[in-house]
Amino acid sequence: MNALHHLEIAVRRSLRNVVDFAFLNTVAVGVVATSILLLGMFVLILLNLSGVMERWGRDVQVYAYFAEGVGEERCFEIKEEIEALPEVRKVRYISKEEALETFRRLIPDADELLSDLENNPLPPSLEIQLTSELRDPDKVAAFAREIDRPSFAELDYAAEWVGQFYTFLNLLKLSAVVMGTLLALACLVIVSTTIQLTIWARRDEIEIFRLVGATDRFIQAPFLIEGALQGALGASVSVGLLWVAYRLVFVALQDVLGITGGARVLSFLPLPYLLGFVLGGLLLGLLGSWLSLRRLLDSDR
Amino acid sequence: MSARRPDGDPDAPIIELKGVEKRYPDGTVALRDVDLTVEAGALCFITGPSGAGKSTLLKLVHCAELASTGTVRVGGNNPARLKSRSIPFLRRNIGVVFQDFKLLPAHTVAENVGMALEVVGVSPRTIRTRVKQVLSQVGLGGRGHMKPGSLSGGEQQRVAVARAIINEPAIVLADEPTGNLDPALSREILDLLVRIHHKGTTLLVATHDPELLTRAPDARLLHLEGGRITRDLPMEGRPVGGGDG
Repeated sequence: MNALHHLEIAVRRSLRNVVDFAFLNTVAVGVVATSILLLGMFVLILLNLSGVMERWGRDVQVYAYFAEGVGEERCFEIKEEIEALPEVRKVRYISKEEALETFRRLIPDADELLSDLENNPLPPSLEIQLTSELRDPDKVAAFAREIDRPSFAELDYAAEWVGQFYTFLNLLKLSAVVMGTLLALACLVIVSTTIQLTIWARRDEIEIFRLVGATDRFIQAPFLIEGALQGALGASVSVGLLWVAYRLVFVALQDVLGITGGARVLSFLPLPYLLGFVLGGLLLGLLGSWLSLRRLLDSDR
Repeated sequence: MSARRPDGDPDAPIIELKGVEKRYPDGTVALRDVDLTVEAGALCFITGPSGAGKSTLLKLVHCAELASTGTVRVGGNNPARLKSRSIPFLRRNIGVVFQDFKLLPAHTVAENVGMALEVVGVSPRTIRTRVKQVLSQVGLGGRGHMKPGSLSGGEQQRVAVARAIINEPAIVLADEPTGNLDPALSREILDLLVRIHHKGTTLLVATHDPELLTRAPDARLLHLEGGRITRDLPMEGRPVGGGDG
């Protein structure tokens, strides 16, 4: 029998089985969809959380407050010197007036507090953003020491916080890999067990095919095609449900909490991830089906 | 056999068992010290009480099970020495009929019969033609579109016989083929099997119904008890209607 004819028979039999065992197949698709939806939710939350944290991380910066009596011209000279350093991504000069304006905006009762003062007490400062390579707390401290000079009254860089932040981010990523692997394995077990039920419901058919001299490959082929179809279809359904969940929960949550300060930072999974889920579902169905068949065929041997 | 495996011995008897014992993992011994030679084209009845080992003997021939000790040869092939992927090819030369018909209820009669050709890779068109021929051969012409559930027990067994012979196998094994049928239908099915045997097929029928033996007085009679062959009466030596005693 040539391979094409073999494949044609297998596809015909699997489509026939999809119709004859519509209920069982629907259950299997539902289980795949639920399992992959859980995994998808996990990935969606993780990606967004990691994205938000990376964005925070990008804001690691050093504040340099000028000492009293340093003229504005000198401030700009120092700004240019610091800007020229390789560790620096961007430097912004914050004038006394701008600092006061920000203070007023952040503290509602600022006017009351400031009314007793004759002059603006806030010093001009530099907001120095560092390149992403400079995240190690020791390196940030070394950088601060490097730029320190008498013109500065104070340098502020939350070194401890930066260190803890990246330790937490790395832990999060590591636990995501572990959790994701465990979740994927759980999906495989659940899907494989469900497919096993659909195969067990048809063990008479398998027995009869064996009686008439069918090879294992002939018996397995339609089940594998069905498994792949169930997996791909289930994964597609889960991607659809995930999008609905994203629209209903994530976007609403983002708007309610105003966590973005206007611009939307939460996003849906990118296309390669979605295609990965469908392909993953297909492989999951295929593998689940193959594992179940092997168990059944070996036990019947 | 029309499709012997390459390692099969063409001069060997079609079925040969030497010193065969079949022991199950729970310790039950279904067959012990069985020596048997069946020449091509023979008709054998295997009789004996329930649990005598009749079905086990047929399973060994059909390669559904392997002997614990001793040698089984089918068409010159020793199933124990074949790779497991070669067993299906050997089975294609053996048709089987069971007491419980083993038909797929969701499939039509034609599909049930045609599946034996489907596994060999025969084209759908040829399958349709062959199914029609074989269904009319077993007296079920025009019933191909029906589901097994709408047929009588005798008709369902005819479907099973049609499936067993559609490949024109060298051997047909029937395990209590009339066990679920009334006497009239039993006679009908046995006559059908005997007609198939008369075309040159080796036929082994396991039964505990002595009445059936009268339908084929020229058959060889093997009587099993406690897993041993206690009587082996050749075709000529057996008194007509001898039963299984």
